[in-house]
This record gives sequence, C-alpha cells and structure tokens, in this order.
Amino acid sequence: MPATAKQSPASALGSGLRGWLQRQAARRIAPPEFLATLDPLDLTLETPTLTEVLDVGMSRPAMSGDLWLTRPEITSYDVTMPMPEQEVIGCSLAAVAVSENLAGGLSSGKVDGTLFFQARKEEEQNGRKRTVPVVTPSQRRETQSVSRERASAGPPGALLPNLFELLLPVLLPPAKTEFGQELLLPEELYPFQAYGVKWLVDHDAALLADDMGLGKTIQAIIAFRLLLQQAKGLQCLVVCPKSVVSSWRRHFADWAPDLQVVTIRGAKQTRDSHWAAYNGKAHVILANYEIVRNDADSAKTIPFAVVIVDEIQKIKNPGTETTQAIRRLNGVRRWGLSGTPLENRPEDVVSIFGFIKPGLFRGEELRVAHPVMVRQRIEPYMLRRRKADVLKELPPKVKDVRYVELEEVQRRSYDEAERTGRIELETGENVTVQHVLALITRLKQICNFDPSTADSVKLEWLKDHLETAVEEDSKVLVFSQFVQTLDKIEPQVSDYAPLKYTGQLSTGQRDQIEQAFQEDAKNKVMLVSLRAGGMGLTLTAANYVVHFDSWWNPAVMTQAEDRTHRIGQDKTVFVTTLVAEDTIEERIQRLLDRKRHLFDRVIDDLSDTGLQKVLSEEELFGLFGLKPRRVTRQDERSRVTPSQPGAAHVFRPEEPFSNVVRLREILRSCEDYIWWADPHFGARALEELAVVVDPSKIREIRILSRSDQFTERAKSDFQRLCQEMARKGIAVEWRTTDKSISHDRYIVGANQAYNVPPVNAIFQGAYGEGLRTTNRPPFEEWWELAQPAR
Amino acid sequence: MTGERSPEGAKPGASPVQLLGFLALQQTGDSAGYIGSAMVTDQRGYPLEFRVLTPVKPTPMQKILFGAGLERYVGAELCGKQLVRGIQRKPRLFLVDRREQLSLGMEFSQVFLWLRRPGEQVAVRAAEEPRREEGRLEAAAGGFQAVVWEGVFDSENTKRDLLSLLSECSGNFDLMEAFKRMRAAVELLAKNDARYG
Repeated sequence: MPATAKQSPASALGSGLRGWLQRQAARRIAPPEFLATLDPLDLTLETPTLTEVLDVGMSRPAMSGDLWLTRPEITSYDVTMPMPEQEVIGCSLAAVAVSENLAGGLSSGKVDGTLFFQARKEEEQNGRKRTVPVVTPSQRRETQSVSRERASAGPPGALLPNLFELLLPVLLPPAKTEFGQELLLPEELYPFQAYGVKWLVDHDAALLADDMGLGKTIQAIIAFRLLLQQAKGLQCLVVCPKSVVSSWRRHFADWAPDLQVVTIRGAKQTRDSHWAAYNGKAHVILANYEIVRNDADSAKTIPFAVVIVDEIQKIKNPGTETTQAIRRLNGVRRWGLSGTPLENRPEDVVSIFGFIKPGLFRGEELRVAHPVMVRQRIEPYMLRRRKADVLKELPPKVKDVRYVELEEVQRRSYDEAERTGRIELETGENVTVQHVLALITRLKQICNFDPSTADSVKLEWLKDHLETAVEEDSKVLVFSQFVQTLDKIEPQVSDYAPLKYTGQLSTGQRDQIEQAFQEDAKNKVMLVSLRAGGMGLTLTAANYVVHFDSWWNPAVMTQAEDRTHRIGQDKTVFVTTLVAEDTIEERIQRLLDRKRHLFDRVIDDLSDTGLQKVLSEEELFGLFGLKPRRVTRQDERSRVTPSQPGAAHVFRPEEPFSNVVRLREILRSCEDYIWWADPHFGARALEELAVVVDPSKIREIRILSRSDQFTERAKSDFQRLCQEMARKGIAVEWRTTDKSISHDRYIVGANQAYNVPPVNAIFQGAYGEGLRTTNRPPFEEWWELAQPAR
Repeated sequence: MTGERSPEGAKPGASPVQLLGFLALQQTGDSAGYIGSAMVTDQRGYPLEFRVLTPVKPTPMQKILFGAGLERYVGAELCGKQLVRGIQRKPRLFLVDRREQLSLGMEFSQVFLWLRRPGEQVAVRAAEEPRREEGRLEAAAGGFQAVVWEGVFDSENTKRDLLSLLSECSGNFDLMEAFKRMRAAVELLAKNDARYG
C-alpha cells in the first residue's frame, strides 16, 4: 500500500484542491462556502494520485436483513449470542463498509448489526395478567465476520413480523378489476358441481349444504370468479374454522390463481390496520371465526360483494359473540356452506338464516320454529345434495390432501426442534442418514401434537370432520404410524366411542374390535396403527378414512385405505391425508410427489419401504438444506478410537470391566429415548437403567425381549423401576415376542444406534463385541409385532 | 379405480413461476440521499421478496466531484450491484426506473430494461453510450397504460422470451405501478425506522 494511502479522504482531496484555490485567489474569487469548513491543514498536503481522487469514498449501503416477505428457505443459521430470558428473532444489518483510504476498495467483509430480541413482559389485559412478547433492539452492538450469503439468508423464523406485516399490504398490487371472458379451470367440474356454481351465482342468499366431500369450497370459489368476471363485485370475505384456512388458500391458488388472496392474522393492532389496508387490494380476504369475532368493528366497515361462511353450523347459537359478529358483516351476497344436515333442526336453521337472509324469520317465528314452516321458508335458499344423489357421478374412491397451518405454540415448538436438530446435524460427529431419519420422526410427531401443550391443529380439523361425518351417520377410520398419537387422539374423541387397534392387542382382542366397529352403531371411529391395522382387516362400515400422518410408501397407505374400500362397500370412500404446512411433512410430500413415477415403477407392490430406499442420501439431507458429509480417511481413523462411545468397536473382549462402564456411557449418551432390543435381556440391566438414565434427556424407555426373559424376578424389578421412572417423568414399557426378529441386540436413541453384546455377557465379563452402527434397526416394526410383557 | 379427480379438488400440476425483478432508486425525505430497493414478483405482480438499502448520503464535496455521474454511481455501482447480488430469488429480467441503472447489464448475466410511460421522459443518449434497443409494450388485456422499454438483449431468443414474459405480466398488472408500490413501502419504512429516513 503506498504511503499516500494512509491519508484521510479530506487530506487527499485537499492536495488536489490547493492549486485550484490558489488560482481562484489570484483571480480574487472567494472559494465556495463549504470549502471554508475544511481543515486548512488538509489543504497543504501533497497532490494525490489520479486513482485516489476518482475513488471517492461513499459508504456502500447495507442490505436489509429483516425485510423478507416470505419465509426464507432454510439454507443456513447464524448462531447468535444467548441472552437470558430473551430470544433472538432477527438480525438487522446496518451500515458498514469501511474504507481506510481513498484508494482502497470498499470492503464488505464485516457486518455491524443490531440484534433484535424478543423479550417477554407482563401486561394487564381485561383485568387479567398476561405475558406478551416485546421486540426490542439490543443495546449491544455486535460485529461479526459473516459471509454475504449467511448475512442475507438469516435464520429461519428471523422475520420481524411487524415489518413484514407492515409492508406487505403496501407492496401488493391493486386488485385487478378486468377479467377475460374465458374461465379457465384446472379440471372439469362434475355436473352436480356445475349446477351448484350456477345456483350460487343466481342466489344472493344461499345455503349450500352438500354432503362432506362433494366440493362445496370449489363451487363457491368458481361462483365468486364468475361474479368478478361479470363485474358484479370485487371483494369477498371467507370466514372459516382455523383448521381449514390453509385449505381455502390452496384451493384459491388452484382454482382461481388470478385472484389476490390474503389472510388476516397476527396481533390485534396489525389486524386492525390490515382490514383497512387490504380493502381494494385483495379479491379475497380469509379470516377464521375467532378473528372475525374479535375484529368485528374493523370487519364490518368493509363492503364485500360476497361473504362466504364455511361450516356455518358454527353460528347455530344466536346468543354467541361469534354469531353476532358475523351477522354484522357487510355483504351484498351471503353464502353459507355446511355439510351437516340441518333441515331437521329448526332452531339452528333460524339462527343461521339470521345471517344468510336477515328478516326471513320474524317475531314469534324466531322463538317457536316449526320444522315444516322452517323447511318451506328456507327451501328457495338452500341446496343440498347427498352422496347417494350423485353417486353415479363419483368414482368409488376419492382422495384429498388437506394442508393445515400449525398454530403459534405448535409452530414455535416445531421451529425450535428443527433449528436445534439441524444444528446437531450440521455440527455433530459421524452424522449419518439415520440421524436425519430420527430428526424427521421427531418433527413429524410435533406436527401431530405439540410436545408440551398437546395442541394440535390436525386434531382440531379431525374433530370438525368427525362431527360432520357422524351427523351423516358415517363412520371414520383414522390411521397414524405413531401409537402415541393415537393415544392422544383417543380421549379427545370420546363422544364417538372410539376403538383403538394397535399391535399391543392379542389376536382375540383384535377380532373383537373389528367386529364391534362393523356391527355396533355407537362406535363411530376407529383409531388404527398403520403398521398393525394396515392389512387383513375388513372395515367396510366406514366410508371416511383420515391419514393423520403419512408413511413413506403410498402403497402402504393405499393398503390401509382398502380396509374400507373393498367388497361389501356400497358407498364412495373419501380419503383425506393431513399435511402440516411449511414443515418437513410438506417438504417430504413435495419430494415424494416428484418421485411418484418411482413408486409407480418400482414400488408398486405392498412391501414396506424405508425412506432411505426411496430418497437418496443427498435428498434426505437436502430436506434440511444440508449436504451429506463424506467420511474421509482421517475421519475414519479418528472414529476408530476404542473405549469411547462413538468408536467403531466399543466393547473389547480383553477389557471385561471397562465394558460395563462403556455400556453405561452408551446409555448416558442416548437422547430422547432408549430402545433396547435384546432377546436375552436380563433383569440385571434394569439396575443399569435405573442408575444411568438422565430424566432431563430421556422421556421413554422401551425394552424388547423374548417372553421367557420376563421372569417373576424381572417382573417385580420392572414394576419397581416403572414406579421410580414415572416419578421422573419417564415412560417405561417392556414388550416380548417369540417371533424371530433379529439375532442381534441393539440400544437405540434418537441420536444413535449401537449393536451391543448380550447384556448378560457384558456383566459376566464374557466375550462380546459391539459397535456404533449406521444401520438403524427397524425397532418400531418389531415393537408393533410384540405384546406387552405380562 | 382411483384415478379420477376428487370433488374436493386434487391439486393440478402447477406451472413454474416466472420471476420479474424491479430496481428502484429514490431520494430520501430530506432529498439529501438516495435509497435503493429491489422487489421480486411473480407474473401477477405479487411480491415475493423485497429488499431495501440504508440511504446513501453524498457529501456536498462528493456531489460536486461526481457531478452528473452521481446518480449513475449511486444507482448502479453502490445500490444496484448490491441489490442484484443480495436478492435470493434471481429473475432473468430486471426492470429499472432509472436509465442510469442500465449499465448493470454489463455486470450481470440478467437483462435490464428501463421502463417509462410514453412521452413522460425524453431519452437523451450520449454519443459514447452503447446502442440500445427500445420498444413499446401495450398491455395484453388492454387494461393498463402502455410502457416504453429500453435495453440490451444478448440474443434474439432472449429478447423473444423476455418480451413475451413482459407482455404476459403487463396483462396482469401495471408494470410502472410496481415502482410506486416500492416507493410507498420505503416511505412507510422510513416512518417506522429512522435508519431509512
């Protein structure tokens, strides 16, 4: 670097200006005023080179890191400093480029940023104390060396929701008012649907009460498109339950892609501003019932061409705040959708028509609603087709994927689990595909139920679905790959006398349950473990099937659905698969959709398939935006370090005493759960579990052995262990099977799997070999095949 | 026999989204500086990504020294390059609201077109400037005002593809209006964050 490069910008410029000032002075012309502010000393330095003058330093502006309009793809994480009781939610990158001299280029290697924290503070609302999040910039200024990519990508969830929410309505284009004459649809409508569309367009007040599954949503969407095309309106409000907001949004994207659709969500203040901001900016505004109830004053000010109320039976009670708020909405046309048969409930119908056609029932009629009078009065405004009416038009089995949006608590748990899991994958040693699979399993479980609060948007959807199905006098099968999920659903649907079918049942119990579901009218729902009930059963009493979560192999799911879609079934079978939006479930769904041809070509039999056989290692890691790390020779050498968990060969025949210690280390290093499969599992190992298990890391222990290992002594020890573990919040279960499942023995945690010697051999100091394995055993399959130890 | 569509509407195969980029440069509220912003939209004009830069505030000295080249330097060198590199979704075509930003075409593989309303501005070309093409785009559906574009394409194929995309987009939304939205967003941001004021 030349010596002159050390000069300040002003100094360098000063040298160049000196001669000019002297010439001006000679002509008796005063210099411009701003030059008088320059330090005179600066003007006495040497003349700078031409390069220096040309490269006048002007700070390069900094890219905003906090103005994402969409959730960034997960590509990298910035590890930020932990602050007690605070959560980093965003990193705003402020100005930075520093040029030490005029000749040097502007550097951008350092980013000086403001960290935003989400703290929590207590606030009193309506006389009750609540904890509310507060976003504050940190007082600390941090300077980090980060690459441009990392800086701009930002961590997932690093959105500043207030800015996002603030700018989105401004950036949306105005709602289009001109539409072509053609109404292009992605698929042809069924004739009964085409009739329904025309009927809606012709009715300002309408109750479309087709049976569930006949496509009321699509009919309403196309009817609104026709109104737009005919310039009979510009804006539509859709009010629906929370669990179907995503579904509406996706249906609009598929069936009316030229419309602008926005969803009202967020904090009250944001929502209030959005009701006004979206007026004229969006063709369709989506809002759930709770939001309309809470924002009644804002919502009622907007004149809508159409207000569509989905699952309108929710306003059957005229006294509720929700009913009142919906009646106050300002809609020229008012359409209600419901799959629940309403014609025999005059009081409900009267309340519903208080919104659809105000004034239809008056005075005395409101209190004493006679069924015949009500039916006659609503007839012109109601269209109801049962499945039996349109059976000839329908295929025998119809499938649908329902996307549900996780709610705040569940979303937070999911994001946190994915974030930490991903960091583990990124930074952990000897990370293999098995670790990715373990993380996927953990995330899928969170998509079903929030681990801490048991919140579940899928369950909310299921409850609504069951209510309607049961009203139709139909029965429902609910499949899940997780028995724990079925355990959580069971008490929540107790009104429908649910039956549960899992691998824990004896053959006699299974037959009994199958018969009860087929013959007993009170059992409306059967909760079925996909593994245990996927084959061999006949459950034609049901004509609705719900996959609460998806299995890798569609053939296995189809096999499960065919429990009901088989000889003896005289109704159309409706199959719904629930997918949590913007989660690993959706990513896998997309990936599998892309590889559908592979299934059709290669995996068209009913044999089960592990995900790792369907997706490559790159694709599996790619689900988390990562690349598989190739094991180098150096890695291999460092891995084979005896006496450490993680070493290839952990147990060594010549070190019988240390082997016991190593077993404990393996148990200690398991995370989330310990699954121990050993045909000759001995009661002695229970002591090790009692001593070693860390309740802060482990929530479940499963033991799988041959039945003759569950001796009286083992039974007694096991019962005491269960009691002790229950106090620590750890669930323990022992199952036995005499089927030949594996000759090997395994200890499996969420983070690792070990092939271990027989536990008795370890304690007896006998010869034994063991190693950490990348081939994770199919423990869950074995578990489903086994019986609870008795 | 499950091949038929669900009455509930199975999702049809979605066509790939074509992206359109917008680069804008505007003065700060006190006219002392410039703020660059970029927006990526889909064919319907829906915003997919929006980025804003902190203001560049040239000193009086810099204003004099850069003279007429100041806006080109700020718009293209300081803001344009930073924005084009920084956005995550890379469109093939960028529309710019300043003629000075067309020089970005020499730095990046994307095509940059300057848009204006016919008759709104007179395009005065300096003798040493590269030869650029220009044309008029009528909105496909006839609903929006026509726009005039100016820029350089690397091949006839590229020109055909991108003008076809532009024509389709112009039927969906007013291309010039997108710049207005960006300016409104920056103004709103400035009211809420002193850094952008």
